[in-house]
Amino acid sequence: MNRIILGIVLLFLLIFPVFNLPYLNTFLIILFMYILLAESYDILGGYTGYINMGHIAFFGIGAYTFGLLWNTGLSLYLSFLAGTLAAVVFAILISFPLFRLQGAYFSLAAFALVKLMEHLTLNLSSITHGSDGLKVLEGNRMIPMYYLSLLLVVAVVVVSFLITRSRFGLAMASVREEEEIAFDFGVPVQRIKTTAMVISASFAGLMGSFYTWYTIFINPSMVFGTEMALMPIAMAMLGGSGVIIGPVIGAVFLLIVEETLWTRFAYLHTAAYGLVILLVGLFMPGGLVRLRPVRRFLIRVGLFKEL
Amino acid sequence: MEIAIQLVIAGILQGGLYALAAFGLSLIFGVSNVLNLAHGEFLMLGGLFCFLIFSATGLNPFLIGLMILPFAFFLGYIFDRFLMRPLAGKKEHIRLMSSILVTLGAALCIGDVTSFLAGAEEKGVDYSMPSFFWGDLYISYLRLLAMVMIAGLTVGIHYYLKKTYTGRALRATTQNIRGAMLVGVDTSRIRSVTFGIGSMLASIAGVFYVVLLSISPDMGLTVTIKYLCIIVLGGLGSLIGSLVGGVILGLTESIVSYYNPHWGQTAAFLILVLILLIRPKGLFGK
Amino acid sequence: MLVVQELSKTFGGLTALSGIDFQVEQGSITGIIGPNGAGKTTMFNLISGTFLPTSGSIRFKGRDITRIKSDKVCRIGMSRTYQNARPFEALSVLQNVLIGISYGRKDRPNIKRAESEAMDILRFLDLERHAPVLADQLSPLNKKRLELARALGTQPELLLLDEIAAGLIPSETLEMMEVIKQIRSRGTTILMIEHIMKAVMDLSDRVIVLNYGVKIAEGKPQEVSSNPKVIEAYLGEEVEEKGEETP
Ligand SMILES: Nc1ncnc2c1ncn2[C@@H]1O[C@H](COP(=O)(O)OP(=O)(O)O)[C@@H](O)[C@H]1O
Ligand SMILES: [Mg+2]
Repeated sequence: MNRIILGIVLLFLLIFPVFNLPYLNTFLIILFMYILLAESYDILGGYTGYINMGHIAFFGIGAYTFGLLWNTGLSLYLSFLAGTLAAVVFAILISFPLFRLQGAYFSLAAFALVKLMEHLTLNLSSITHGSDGLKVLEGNRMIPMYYLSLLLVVAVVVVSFLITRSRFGLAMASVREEEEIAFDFGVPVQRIKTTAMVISASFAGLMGSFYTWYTIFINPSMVFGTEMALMPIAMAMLGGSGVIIGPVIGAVFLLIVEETLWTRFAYLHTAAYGLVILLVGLFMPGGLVRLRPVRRFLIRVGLFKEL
Repeated sequence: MEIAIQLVIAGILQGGLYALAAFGLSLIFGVSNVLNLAHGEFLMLGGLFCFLIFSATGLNPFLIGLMILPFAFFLGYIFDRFLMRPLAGKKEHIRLMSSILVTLGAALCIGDVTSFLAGAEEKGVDYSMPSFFWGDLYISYLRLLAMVMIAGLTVGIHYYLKKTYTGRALRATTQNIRGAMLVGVDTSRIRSVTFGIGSMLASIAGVFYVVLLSISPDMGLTVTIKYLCIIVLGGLGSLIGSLVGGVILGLTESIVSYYNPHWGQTAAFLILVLILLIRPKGLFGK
Repeated sequence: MLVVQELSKTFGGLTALSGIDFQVEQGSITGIIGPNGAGKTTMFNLISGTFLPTSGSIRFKGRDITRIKSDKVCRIGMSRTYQNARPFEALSVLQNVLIGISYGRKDRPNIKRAESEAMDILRFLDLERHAPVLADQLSPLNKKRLELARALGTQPELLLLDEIAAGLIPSETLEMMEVIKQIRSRGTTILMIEHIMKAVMDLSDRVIVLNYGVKIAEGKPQEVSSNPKVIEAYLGEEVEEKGEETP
C-alpha cells in the first residue's frame, strides 16, 4: 500500500514539468527546499532530541561557499561538493563545544551561531559583498533545479528511513530519551550526536549550493534570516518531529497555508500564519501526524515510521 | 580619554537596557523552563503604547511608562495562563518544542497585527532634555536619568526577590521546582506572576527604547534572540548575571561601533558565541 | 571478580562514602543493605563508572576500572538496573533491550541475531507479549522487569541490582527472587541493594551493611543479622519510625 502511494506521488512529480506550469513548478521547488530543510533538521532534532535552531547555518554556508567558489571558476560539480563539505566541516567543528550544552541552552547557542554568520557575511563585504549580495553566472535553471531538489528530497527521506531501521537510529533515540543511561549502556553518545549533525548538515549544505545556483543571487538575510532559520524547524515540529513523514507533511501544510493566506488576504497573512503555528503548538504537541485519525490513517497505509 | 569615558557610559547604559529586558526573560526561563520567543513583542508593545499616548497627550514618557505597567503585567499574566500553562508538566523535550511553536506563533501574530494597526515604520518619541558639560564630558540629562532609573529598578527588583514572599517563592521555584511545590508554593500561580513581571520589565525597557532609540513592529524576534543569549550567558534567574551579560554586550557594541559602526553587532554576537562555547553553563555557572 | 579498596566519595562538603573495602566472588550473590541515604546507590554509581570516586580503587576481572567510564565498564562485562526505573520511554520494550545488546557488548551482533536474543530475554522475563509496547506504558512490575531485561542484554558477568524489588507486592517479590536465582545459576555474579530483609537474607551468600557512608558489617547473612552494630543501626531506625507513628 505505502509503496503504491509513494510510487504514484513520485511518478507524478517526475513527469510534472511536462505540463509546463512555471508558477507551480517554482512553488514545488520552494516546497522541496523546505521539505529538505525540515527533514534534514529532524535527523538531529527529531531523533536525538537536540533542537538545533542553528540548522539554517549549514544551508547558508553551503550557499555562500558554492557561490564564492563557482565565481572563481571552479567547476560546477566541485563547487557543489565544496558547498557540502564546508557545511560538514562546520558541523564537525561546532559539534564539540555545542554538544556540551543541553536543552534550551543548546538551541540558543546554535541560534546565536546563525546570527553570527549573518552578521559576518554582512560585514566581510570584501569577500561576500555584504548586503549587496552575491551574484553568480546567470541562466534559466528551473527544470534542472526541479529534478535536483526532488532527488535530494528523495535522498533525505531514504536516509531517514534507513536510519530508523538501523542500530544507529536506535542509539539516536536512546540519546533523546535518556542520554546518561544510553551512555551507561555503551552508546557512544558524543559520536552519535556528531554523526547525526554531520548527516543533517550535509543535506542542508548541498541544498544551499543548489539554491545559489538556482536563484543566481543570495544575500545574508535570504540564507541566514530569522524567519528562514525558524520556518523549517516549525515545519518539522508542526508535522511531527521524529516521524519520517512528519516534516514532509509539516512543510506541505505550512507552505500551502502561507500561499493561501498570501493570495486571499491583502493584510495580516503573517498574523494568520503565526496563529496557525501557535494553535498547532498548543493543541497538537506531537504534530499533525500524531493526531489520532491522521496517525491511524498513516499506520494503515504503512507510512508512519517513527523512532 | 573623554571619548573612552563617553563610550563606556554609552555602553553601560545600553547594557543596562539590555539587562532590564533580559532579566524578565531570565526569570521566565528559570521558573517555567520554556523559551519565550515572544518576549521582544512585549517590549515593542510597551514602547508603542508609550509612543501613542505621548503623541496624543504629550505627557512625560516615563510617566506614561508607569501608567502602562499594570496593563503589561496583566498581558504577561494571561499570556502564561492561556498559552503557556497547557504545556507545563510535559517532558522537557516536548515542552521545549511546543513552547517554540507557541511563542514563535504569538510573536509573528503580535508583530504583524501591530504593524497592520499602527503602521510598519520605525517610531521614536521625540523627547529631549537639556545636556551639560562636566569638565570636558558631555552628559545628557535624559541618559543620566535613564541610567539612574535603571539602577533604581535593578535595586528594586533585587529587594523584591529577596524580601517579599512572592519574590522568594519565585526564586525557590527557579532553583528547584519540586522542592518549591513540596513547601507549598503554588508554582502555577508563581509562573503566571513571573510572566507578568517579565512583561512589565520588558515594557519598561520598551519605553526606554522608544525614548532613547526607536522601535518598530518587526523588531521583536531580533531583540528576543539577543536577550536569550544574554541570559544563557549570565545564568538563569540571576539579576547580576543578566546585568553583567547585558553590560558586556552593551560595552562591546558601543566600543566596536565607535571604530567601525558595522562591526558593533557582529562583535557582540561573536563574544556571546565565544563565551557560550567556552563556558557552556554561563559565566557564573559551575 | 570485583575488588573495592578504600573507596570514598564526597559531594561538595558531604561525604557520601568513606573507606569502603570489600570483594565479590565469582558466581556469588552479595547483598548490600543499609538505611536510606547510607550511600548504597552512590557506591553503584562509582563501581559502574557513572561517577568518579574521590579516592580509592575498583578492580573488576583483575583490571583496574577506577577511572574507566560507564560505557566501557559496560562493555567489559558489568551492567546495572536503576533504583527508579528509567527505561527509554518512547521506545518499545524490544528496542530498549536491543540498545544494550547492540552497544553494551564487545561483540556487535547483527540486527537479526540481536532481535532473536532480545526475544529470548523477554521470554525469560515473561515480557514477550509486551515486546512492541512503548516502555512508558508498562506497569511498575513490568518496568522493573524491563530494567532487568535491558541489563541482561549486555550479557553481564557482574549484574548490579538497585532495589529491584522495591515497590512490588510480596508475590511479585517472590517471583523476582526466583528470577534472580535463575540468573545466578547461569553463571552471572550478582551484587544487589535490597531493603526487603527476607529477600536479601534468603538469596545472599554474603551481606554488606552500610550506614552513613561506612561499612559497619560484612559476612554471612546469619552472622550479619546477629551483629550488634547492625541491630543497633536498624533498631535505631525502627525506634525512629515508631516515634513518627506515635507523636
Ligand atoms: N549526585 C549527587 N550529588 C550530591 N549528593 C548526592 C548525589 N547522589 C547522592 N548524594 C547524597 O549522598 C548520600 C547517599 O545517597 P545514596 O547513595 O542515594 O543513598 P542510598 O542509595 O543508600 O539510599 C545522600 O545524602 C545523598 O543526598
Ligand atoms: Mg538508593
